[in-house]
Amino acid sequence: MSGRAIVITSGKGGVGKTTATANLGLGLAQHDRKVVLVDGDIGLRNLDIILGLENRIVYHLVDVVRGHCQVRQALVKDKRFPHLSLLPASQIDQKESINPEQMRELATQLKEEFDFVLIDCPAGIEQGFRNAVAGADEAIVITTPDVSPVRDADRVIGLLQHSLGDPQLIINRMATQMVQRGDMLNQQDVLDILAVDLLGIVPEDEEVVVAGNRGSPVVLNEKSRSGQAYGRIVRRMLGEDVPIPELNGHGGLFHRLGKLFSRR
Amino acid sequence: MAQRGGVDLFSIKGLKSGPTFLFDDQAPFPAVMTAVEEELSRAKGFFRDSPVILHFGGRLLNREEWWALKEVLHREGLLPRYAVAAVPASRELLYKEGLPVREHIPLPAHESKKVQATAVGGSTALYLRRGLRSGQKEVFDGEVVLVGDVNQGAEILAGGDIIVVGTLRGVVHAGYPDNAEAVVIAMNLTPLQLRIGPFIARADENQNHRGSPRPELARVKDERIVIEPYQGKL
Repeated sequence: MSGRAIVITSGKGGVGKTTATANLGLGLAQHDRKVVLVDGDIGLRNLDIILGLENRIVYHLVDVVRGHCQVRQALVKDKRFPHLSLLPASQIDQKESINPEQMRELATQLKEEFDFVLIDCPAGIEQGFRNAVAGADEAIVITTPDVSPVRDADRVIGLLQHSLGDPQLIINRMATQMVQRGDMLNQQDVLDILAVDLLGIVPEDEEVVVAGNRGSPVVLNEKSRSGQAYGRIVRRMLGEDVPIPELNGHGGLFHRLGKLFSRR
Repeated sequence: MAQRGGVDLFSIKGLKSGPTFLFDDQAPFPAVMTAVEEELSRAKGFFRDSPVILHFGGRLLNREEWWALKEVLHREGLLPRYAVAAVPASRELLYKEGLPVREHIPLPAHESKKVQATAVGGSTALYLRRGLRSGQKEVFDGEVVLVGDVNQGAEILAGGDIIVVGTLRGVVHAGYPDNAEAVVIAMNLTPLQLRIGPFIARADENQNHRGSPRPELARVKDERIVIEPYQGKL
């Protein structure tokens, strides 16, 4: 069997890659898929914390690549879902400790055993990004509806197109009221610029922060709006046709920020 | 003369555009350099002080190779006018090294197999059937026609006009470096900055204007860049 290896990336830091990786992984595991989450952020590992698995780590990705242990030994099983495993990053090594070829081999190996290999990509477009992308067959790009993250997402999509084709897009932290006031880009503004398929929209939600700190991602909380949004995204990843609810209203920053030169 | 499968590794052609140095784009670069040295020593300074066109075809040129070649050209007293390179990375390199670049020029029939050449009314245009995303750049010494969007953070630098069949949000420079006759046309013209020849215009940050998109034309009038609705003619 061969699973799907998907890299979750954004260019910009802090838009929710790691949180999304954790939620999508848990969501897929809830649907009885075998999932492994690979923390590609070597030197700044976080995925284990969001998942609440920090205290179970023995070996890490760099150990595996260097042959210090078997892949099996480094995988940390989730405490809630036995179908879900984490391959943690090393906190002491550098991005340059591994190369794209090694990531490719690792992903190939993982795909034999898992339905989904989700690779959490570090911010930036340097070696860490190249490593994370090398192992993947598909990409999900995350952005928030703000000008800078959208610009960086555009850059990343341009880089991905050479190797993985068009990625799918998740718009994270959409704040309906700000959009309505015209203080934030709306869904259509973002899609006009990025011109890729929308996989889903996650609303701004304080619960995400709380859940991250507690090590219990929002997708596990059926009452949370963002948790429900991740639930829908997961079903779309599994091929279900789930409509994307409008979180929009009719504002949008561009409507207010009319621009341009003096026109005659 | 050094050859590869019947093709000269280096040759000099007298084309309509001027004396042109054709470098084979398949052979290893050191072999091409050897051929260049041989041929130039045979020419015995005939080309000294003449402006020449350097045609690299589809070669991916690196900086060391360019410097090695530049040194030989300098020694022989040759003045490169501009370079022709089909590979964007080569064009970028040469452009950064201060040499005007083109994607292609018309070659006599038997050479044009290797390079895509278009000649309509004596001008050449670069046709791109894709958009440009942030961080992507096209440099071309001629007209550029692009079907797709040019996003913020993307750049086009053209010697002539720029036509965007889509939304133009990035920074474009038409008529680079000093052709103020050049124009920019886009289906939806919303760049943050626009340059034509020696002129630069900035988006008006205070103006509150966003109607439905319509084709617009930017040109220089009375030493200023102005934008007007595109009426189907220049």
